[in-house]
Amino acid sequence: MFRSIVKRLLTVVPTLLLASIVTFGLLKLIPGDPATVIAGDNATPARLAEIRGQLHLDESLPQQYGRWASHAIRGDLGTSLYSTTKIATTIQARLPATLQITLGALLLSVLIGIPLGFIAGWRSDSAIDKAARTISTVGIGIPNFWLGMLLVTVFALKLHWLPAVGFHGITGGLGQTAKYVVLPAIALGAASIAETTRQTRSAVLEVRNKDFVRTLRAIGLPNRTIFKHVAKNIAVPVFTVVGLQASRLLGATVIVEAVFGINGIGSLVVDSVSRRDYPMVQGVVLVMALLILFVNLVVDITYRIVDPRIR
Amino acid sequence: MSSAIDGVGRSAASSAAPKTPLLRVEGLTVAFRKDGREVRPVENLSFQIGHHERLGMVGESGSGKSLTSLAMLGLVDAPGLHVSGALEFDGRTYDLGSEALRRLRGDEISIIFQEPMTALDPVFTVGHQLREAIRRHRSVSRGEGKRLAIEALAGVGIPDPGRRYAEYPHQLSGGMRQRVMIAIAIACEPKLLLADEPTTALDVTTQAQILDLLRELNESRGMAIMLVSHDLGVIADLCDRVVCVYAGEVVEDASLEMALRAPSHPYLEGLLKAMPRVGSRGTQLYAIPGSVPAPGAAPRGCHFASRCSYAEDVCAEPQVLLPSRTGGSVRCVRHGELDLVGVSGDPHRSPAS
Ligand SMILES: Nc1ncnc2c1ncn2[C@@H]1O[C@H](COP(=O)(O)OP(=O)(O)OP(=O)(O)O)[C@@H](O)[C@H]1O
Ligand code: SF4
Ligand SMILES: [Mg+2]
Repeated sequence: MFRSIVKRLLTVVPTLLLASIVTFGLLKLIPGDPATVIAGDNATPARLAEIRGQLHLDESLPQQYGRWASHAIRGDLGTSLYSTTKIATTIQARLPATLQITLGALLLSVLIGIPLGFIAGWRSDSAIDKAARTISTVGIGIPNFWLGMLLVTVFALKLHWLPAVGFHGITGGLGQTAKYVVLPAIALGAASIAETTRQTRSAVLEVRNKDFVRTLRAIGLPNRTIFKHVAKNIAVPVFTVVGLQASRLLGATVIVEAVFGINGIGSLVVDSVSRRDYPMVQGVVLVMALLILFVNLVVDITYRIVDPRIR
Repeated sequence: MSSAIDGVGRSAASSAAPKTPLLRVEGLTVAFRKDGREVRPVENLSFQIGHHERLGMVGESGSGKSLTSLAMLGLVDAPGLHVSGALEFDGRTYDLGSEALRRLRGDEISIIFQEPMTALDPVFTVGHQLREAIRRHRSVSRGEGKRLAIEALAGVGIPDPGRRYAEYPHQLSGGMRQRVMIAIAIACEPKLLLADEPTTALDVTTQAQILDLLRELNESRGMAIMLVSHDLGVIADLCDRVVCVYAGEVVEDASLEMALRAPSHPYLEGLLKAMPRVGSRGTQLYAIPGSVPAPGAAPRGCHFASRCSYAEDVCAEPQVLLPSRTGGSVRCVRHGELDLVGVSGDPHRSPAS
């Protein structure tokens, strides 16, 4: 197991390399002279020269990549085209809000989706199962901006239980943070909760009918023990879906950030793209790629821990 | 009456119908609704197993053997299937459709299945699974559980049990897995072990070894065995008595010797004829014409009538179990007039040779 985990860790190196090349290549996809495209048609020659210098467009491609990558490794993603702030600093400022609502949504998926799916699968066609199936159908179908606005209207504007907009850093205490995270996390996570419930349910349903469960019952083991066996057997599909949700959620925060007035990564991407701030887009894409890579790595390592056949 | 005849009489009687059975199944019926009609893959099945006995239940695929053995432990849980009947075990009676049977499971009666790969949990070590079975039965510490588990692995003939203990099912061969399964099943020291096609998935050599192990367990522990198989050769290798089932009903119940040498039911005769024999290599194998009817599709009278070469008008009447000439029972109105052919020679030949 240990060796296979190390092997898996090593595969990160080529993946990282590839991800960085693709991210770097983004800038090269711009047709024509990137400086003109970025600065717009009626830019002054001085501004064009400035952009060219900033992007080192006079160097060869490998040189440009080498420069960019060697900086990126040290955490230096360059500077925005529109301000003097370092890109890394901007991302650092925006990332916590996005991570908070993403993790919040993920936590809800795990805490609600897995137990609900488990019960629904174990007692298929029971009232709980029917309820779970209805809830997941609704959860998957409901648009998250609409759910977000509904939540704000009911819980913030009408009931005044929770704040309507904004974000609170973790340094202000977990309680405060949670208050701000709850509603956006629900709005963001509804579909993930639903999907996790569905996948857990079908995994349990499949494992429940396996021969070995019959064996466990045949030798008279209590349900408690049988649940333990089922749980370990559904771990791989369940971790898979949770990992997929994590990646999906990271990319889906933009709308929820807009609804809840949160200055996160999502809004940063939208702003940067519309301003053609390519270096900023590049930086954000790289960070996102790293996060998703990390999630996949964690999921893969968990596979190896729970399922001896994957080692 | 001389004592010699007396002795023969007694042994014949005890082999065909044990007097104080360990277990008696009465009227086992498994039913489900299909197209608004109730069909019964197992119908009114009754038989008994004596203390320490090795009973073989034989019948072609689809005749209801697995449903029978699962129902005996209350393990038929497919939605829509309804089980009824009674089971008497060690003097106590249980309703076969009830959950009360749970008390017998893994305590008095245990079961092993055909596919030892899927019957074991792939993500736990065999040691873990065996220890669970042991600790369910005896309150011992983890460490003591491990020691007993390794001992149990050794007891079913697994070499290097200490190493095997920490391995996962996919690391073992089919025969080893079935041995592990047996160790798990007998961890509770049951009085009866049901074995549903335990060797069908194994090669011939391994098959013989597993049968040897079962025989040894029967002899050393006095544990009765009900071996379920479609293969009369396997049953001949291990059992003392045969219950032959067809379309969910018992059609013949006889001692092994009688079942092989002088079958009373045409279906059993057909099964014997279809057995591969030593020295018959290369010759065309006999097969009973037709196939087992789907549940609910059997002829109304004798269920076997559509495939029976002795069928006559009387066979269109529903058949009941009658005492047979060989000391057992048979469900064939014509059994008295028929002169059926069995196999001669040593019945305890190796299977499928
Ligand atoms: N869950 C179920 N629902 C409906 N019919 C079933 C179900 N399980 C089994 N049957 C039917 O009952 C009949 C007997 O099945 P069973 O598995 O007991 O046969 P078997 O004698 O064990 O055969 P095999 O040698 O194939 O194992 C078959 O016709 C089968 O199709
Ligand atoms: S009752 Fe008739 S059809 Fe049935 S087995 Fe006997 S002879 Fe054949
Ligand atoms: Mg079967």
